[in-house]
Amino acid sequence: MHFLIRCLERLALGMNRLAAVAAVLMSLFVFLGVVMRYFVGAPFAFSDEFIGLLFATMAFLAMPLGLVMRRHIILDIVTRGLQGPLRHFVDIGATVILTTFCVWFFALSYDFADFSRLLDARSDIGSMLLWPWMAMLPLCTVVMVLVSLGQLFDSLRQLAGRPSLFSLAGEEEAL
Amino acid sequence: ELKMHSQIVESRPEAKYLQQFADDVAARSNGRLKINVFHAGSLGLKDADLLRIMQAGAVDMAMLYGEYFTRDAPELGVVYVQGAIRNPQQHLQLLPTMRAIYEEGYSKWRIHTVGGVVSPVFNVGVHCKEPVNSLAQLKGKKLRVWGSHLVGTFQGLDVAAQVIPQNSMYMALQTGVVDCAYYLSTVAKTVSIQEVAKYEAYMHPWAAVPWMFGVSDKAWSRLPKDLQTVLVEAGEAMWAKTRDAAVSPERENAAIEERKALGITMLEPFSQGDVSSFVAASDKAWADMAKSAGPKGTEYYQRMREAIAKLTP
Amino acid sequence: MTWGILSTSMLVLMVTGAVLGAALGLTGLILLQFQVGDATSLAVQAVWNTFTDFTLSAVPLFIFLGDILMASGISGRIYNGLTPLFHRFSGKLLHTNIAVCTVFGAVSGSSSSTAAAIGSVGYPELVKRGYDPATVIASLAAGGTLGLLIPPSLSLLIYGATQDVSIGKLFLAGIVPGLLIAGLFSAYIAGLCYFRKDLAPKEDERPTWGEIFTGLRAIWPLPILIFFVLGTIYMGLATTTEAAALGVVAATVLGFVWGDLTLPKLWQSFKTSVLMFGTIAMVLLGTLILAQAISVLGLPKELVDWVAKMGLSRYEVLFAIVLVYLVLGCFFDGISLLLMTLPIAFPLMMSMQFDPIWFGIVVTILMEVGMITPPVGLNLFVLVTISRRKVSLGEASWATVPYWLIMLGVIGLFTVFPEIVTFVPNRFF
Ligand code: NA
Ligand code: NA
Repeated sequence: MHFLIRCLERLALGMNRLAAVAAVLMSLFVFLGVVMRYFVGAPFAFSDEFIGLLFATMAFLAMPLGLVMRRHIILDIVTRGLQGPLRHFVDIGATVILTTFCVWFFALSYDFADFSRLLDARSDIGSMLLWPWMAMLPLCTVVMVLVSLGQLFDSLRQLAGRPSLFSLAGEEEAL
Repeated sequence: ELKMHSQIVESRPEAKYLQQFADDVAARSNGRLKINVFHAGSLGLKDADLLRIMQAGAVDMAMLYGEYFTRDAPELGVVYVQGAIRNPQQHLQLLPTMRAIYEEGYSKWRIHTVGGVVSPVFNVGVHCKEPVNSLAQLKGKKLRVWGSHLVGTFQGLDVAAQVIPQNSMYMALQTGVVDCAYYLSTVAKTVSIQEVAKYEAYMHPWAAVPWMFGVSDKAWSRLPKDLQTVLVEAGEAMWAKTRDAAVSPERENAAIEERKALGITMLEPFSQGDVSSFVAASDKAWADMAKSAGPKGTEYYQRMREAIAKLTP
Repeated sequence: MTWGILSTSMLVLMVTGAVLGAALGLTGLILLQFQVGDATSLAVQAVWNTFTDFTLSAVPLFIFLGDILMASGISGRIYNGLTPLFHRFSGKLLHTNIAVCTVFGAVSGSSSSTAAAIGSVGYPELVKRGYDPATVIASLAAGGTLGLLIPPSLSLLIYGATQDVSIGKLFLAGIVPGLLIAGLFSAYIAGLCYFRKDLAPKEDERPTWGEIFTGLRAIWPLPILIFFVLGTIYMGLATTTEAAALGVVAATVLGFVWGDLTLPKLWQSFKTSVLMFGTIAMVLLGTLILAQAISVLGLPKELVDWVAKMGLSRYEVLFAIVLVYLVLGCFFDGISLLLMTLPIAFPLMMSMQFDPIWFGIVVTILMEVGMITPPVGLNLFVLVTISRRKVSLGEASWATVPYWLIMLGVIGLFTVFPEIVTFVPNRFF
């Protein structure tokens, strides 16, 4: 189990790096779009679409690491003061919610991408094939499902008094 | 009660027709069937998703506009293009062919159609910050257009055109991102175009795809027979009414006077030669677009070409 | 029934301290499944549409810009240069937040871009200098909303186009209220820091004019950045997203030439910014699903309908409308709310003889209020993320309450003196 969690953490870190690459590409592409328009006089016809797709890719690729590092925004007004076993019970509840949501969203986004593949759906202006981009949604959410299941297991272990298996939570240097 | 989505903002006449249709349905059914229209996309739905939404039956009814579905059904987007007609009357002659194609196309998405709104044949013009009323003057200007077919058409005419959504058009003109906007002159006032572009030249009549009233099969099969009939009758009545009102020189003249009063300078229309060049470029872009939309796209295109060939000039 | 499910599940999901995006999203999915009926497919569509929208991409780009400026030490030098100038004011550098947001708001159409742009630069610098984090966040969250009121404004554009009101007049009308609110924000900061000395760093001795001058001389790269980010939008050379990308490139070049940026630092900036944006994306994901569920249920329309049917007097209607927007502001922010409610709210207000320009401004202020009303408030999310959750959502919301009250107070003021809004546009048209 320890090994699997380590693998998940590595995977999330790798996805973060891919997201950073998408981010660099996005910045460069928007910049080049301006250059092309003003200095070359030939604007990219479908740059808006392409940037939108890069943007979605970056956003979803970036989500799993946030989960691993427990960086996501939570409303902890009620739970902040809790200590001991009660704390772990609440954590388990929170993780169940997270897992449920991720599983549900995974199923929906899988259907969405698959249906678009069957239709051979393409973007409006550039006629880009859409399903490979759409497939990023289920792909990234399935990693989130795995992470949240790992955290659920981890919370149960902690309830039994064992230490957490996750090593990246709150570690800025891990990047 | 049926929930109905419409993307049209209330300041457009099409939205008023839609509301009349809903009221008519309530009256004809003695209040047994109520259509709750959500204007201006207020259900939070995007038209590009509408075919999927209607197929799943997530919303009961919707105003369908074929050109918004290019992602999921590209063949529906190649039925009709700007430049297909040169005078408003021709639009009325093409309507039956168009309607038949759309009814067939929508039924594949498990959408039942009950008439619709024939869009008014507005004037389409070029609205510029400086006087422009020929293709020669348009070269070297940055032009805002509304769809990829128009980008292709203007490319064929050596004019740099880009798609800018209606909501960004005002800012784009004000800040000089574009010099001119290709837009529906008749309703240009609603987006305050007179504040940012003072010159206008007429180009051609709007080749507007009809808005069809779509009912999801799920909602349709839930309705008893007599209410289905009510829907069909009210939809047909609205179709006939809007078709008869679609071409109206008086309305266009009144709108021109209104824009003059707002300070717009009306230039001479684009010359017949320029319009012919536009039509030729549009034809070429149309054929290309139809081909890339698959066999169904080519079929629809050919059906429309046949109907156009039979037009009286 | 719907309201019951909504409040219960929100409550249950919140008290567990679950990831907010998941909690909001799950609530939305439950509503779509059971109240709308088998409509969960709408959730993915809504998410896909927004995540592929070109305009939203300005937000991460501004976060990259801020992080690169930080990593290269440029933002540190700029704030060092400004410190002597602001020494004399109570609240000191906190005023730069409001001032810069006002200027930025004047060119950017979007509120969350403004918060991201100013926040990612301002927050780390101010906190490093000993300002209270929650106070900094609140000033940024509130300042960020000014972008919606000061033209050009997406909200006023959409109001004008959908309700057939002159966009030019609306833009003119937005200037005075925008500046007024900015002034009141600054006054509040000055007052707050006058009474709470612990919120801003300790006074040392007064800088001389020479020191102020030297400080200002050291910020010469600032005009370059301002040109790339603000100038290009203002002159119509670039959209907000493009300006953000120009800023990223300009900051990178400046960072290598003038600052101490290195390639590893640049790569590190992208990795941390992406992580930061991932958490914003997660909460956005949930927000979008919940908003889609509420809008497809027609709840906003239902609420406004309900006000319309109560047969209230003029000011009672206004009061009820404000209340409705405050309630809906908990679940929505920005433009979607406008589109959902205006079809009924606008004719209702017009039938009560309110001025269309005036209502445009008031409704835009209500949108701004909604952007900083928890639990769903993109400005707050962006800033809480930028603080790396050193400030929790609860603390940030609490510190923002006074700004929230100022905006409501301003609506009251405009109701008593509508001329404040209508004077300028009537003068020029
Ligand atoms: Na603005
Ligand atoms: Na809100």
